[in-house]
Amino acid sequence: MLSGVAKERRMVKHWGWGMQRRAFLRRSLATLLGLFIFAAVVASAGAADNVSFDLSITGYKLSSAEDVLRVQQGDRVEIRMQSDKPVTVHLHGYDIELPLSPGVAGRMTFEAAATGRFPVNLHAEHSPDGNHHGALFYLEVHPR
Amino acid sequence: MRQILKTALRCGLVAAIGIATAQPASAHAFGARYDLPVPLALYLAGAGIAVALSFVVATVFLRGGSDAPSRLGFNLFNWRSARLLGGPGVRWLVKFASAALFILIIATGLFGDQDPYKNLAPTMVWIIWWVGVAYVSALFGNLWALVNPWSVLFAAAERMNCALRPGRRLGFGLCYPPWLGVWPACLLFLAFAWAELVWPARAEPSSLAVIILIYSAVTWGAMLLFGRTAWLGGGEPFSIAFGLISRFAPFEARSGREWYLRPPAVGLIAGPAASRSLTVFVLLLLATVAFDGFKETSAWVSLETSLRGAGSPGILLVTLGLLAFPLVFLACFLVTCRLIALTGGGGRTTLELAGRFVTTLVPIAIAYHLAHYLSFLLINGQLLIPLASDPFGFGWDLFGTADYRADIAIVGARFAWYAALVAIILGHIIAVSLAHAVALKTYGDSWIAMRSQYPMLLLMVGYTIAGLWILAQPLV
Repeated sequence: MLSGVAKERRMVKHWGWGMQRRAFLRRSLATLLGLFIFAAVVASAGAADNVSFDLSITGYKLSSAEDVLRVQQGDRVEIRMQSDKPVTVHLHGYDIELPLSPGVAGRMTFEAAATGRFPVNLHAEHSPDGNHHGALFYLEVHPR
Repeated sequence: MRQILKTALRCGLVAAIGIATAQPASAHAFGARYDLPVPLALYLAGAGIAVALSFVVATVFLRGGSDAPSRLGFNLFNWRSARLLGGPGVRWLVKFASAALFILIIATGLFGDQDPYKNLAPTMVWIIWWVGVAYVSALFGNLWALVNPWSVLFAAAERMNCALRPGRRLGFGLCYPPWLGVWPACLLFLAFAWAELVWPARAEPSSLAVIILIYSAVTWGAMLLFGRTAWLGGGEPFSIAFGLISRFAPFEARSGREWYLRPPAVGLIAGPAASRSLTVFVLLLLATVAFDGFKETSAWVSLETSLRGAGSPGILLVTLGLLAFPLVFLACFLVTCRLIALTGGGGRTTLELAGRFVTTLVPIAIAYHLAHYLSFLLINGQLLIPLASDPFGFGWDLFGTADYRADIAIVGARFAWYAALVAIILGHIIAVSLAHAVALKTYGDSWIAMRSQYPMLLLMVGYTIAGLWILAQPLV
């Protein structure tokens, strides 16, 4: 059986520096990978909150300029909405629909169990355009 | 032997994590994406690490070159279980299943419910086939060469022809002109990219079925003219694209009788330099993958709204974008090759270097593709479960899964971010290593090769950071 040093020498003789270079690369990659896995697994703790938002829709558009709602994963979310036209609001991903009559407030309540960026569209009864690029607003659920 | 197995295990671990964590990306052909953008801190860390590791690779490379990697390999068929798995019986079964699925997709597209989410065709074509086969090719080898339904059905027709008319060949047997190269594949791939990214009817089952039939007519017509293998090697865009991607995988089938496990990505630099048409094809592939991601950023949307006058329709603008990206990629790449020619001390023309180096960019595109589509594949691929029970949308329930609803929480955002980052950094390192290996083969001397690689390093860092940037953008 060869000793470690002799094995190393044989490796160099047979494969040249290529083998050692690759061994070094493999080791550094494995270390990097290990660090990343460690970082990914360590998550910050925190209790889930009850979060609520108030939105109003005028003329098929959101009244406020800020069109991203941010919550944390696990929060219980309540979105209160009012519209001046008859519309149906659809939250993609969670697949929740909320029909709104003019002037009557509606509520969408759910637990934000899944992370992601979810668009909310209108399926308006009399709106002229389709639902493509134009999301009403986005709900972003961030990991804890 | 143990070293090779250790490498294989590590590659497998990395691959598994790469697949399991990529951020979802919208393919925009069909299917929803709910990716959360990669946070700024991670994006900057990823960019920094990619740059730093590039220099580590370069330094390690300088100590001495070796082309041992391409000779490393272990024939999996030495194991009996691998021989059984890759045996003729299993292969025949897989080919039969592929042909049957192909016919089913056309049938459901033409005769099934036209709601894209109730019909098998859009999910199978845009999610399972285009994204799924690319994944399998990148990680396990050239699956498409086995299951290509156009090849399978034509080969079956050839065998029937042999049996019914012995001695007579099927088709005209014209010689495929060598000057044609893979230009037909380039044109057809561009048309496919347009269909995938721009065509408004791409999620409609019947339109999809019709376009498949048209493509089948074109492919079989060309096979009748030039022969099956000649057309597959020159004109069939998917064979060339998936073949290119599969050269990245750690598996390689050799001479049909052996299945080798070898270091990943060396297949990309083995063999002769790419011809001009193949160089263009590779850049087309890279550019369309990049445009797919860029199209979903708010930067593109604001560009679109600023350019869109009162009269120009949206399709034209996106088509122009689709055509502009390959041109930009070609320009950047040729400039880089010119700089390599200059810093490498002459002796090689720009076009010759372009052919040698173009495939070294593929790992970055593959890593980005894997990072971008993983969540998408995991979330939208679940559509297959209810569709398997009811492919036509007629209300059947063949396997009892027709009421299954996709679980959107299948992959968490933080895990997805880290996996995407690891995939992209690995892809970058592999690309830089490949480029150095090619430079050594081209120039012979380590120092000259190293010097010649500065432009290429710049290009690759820019390309990787562009991919990271796209992943860090909120989806619109």
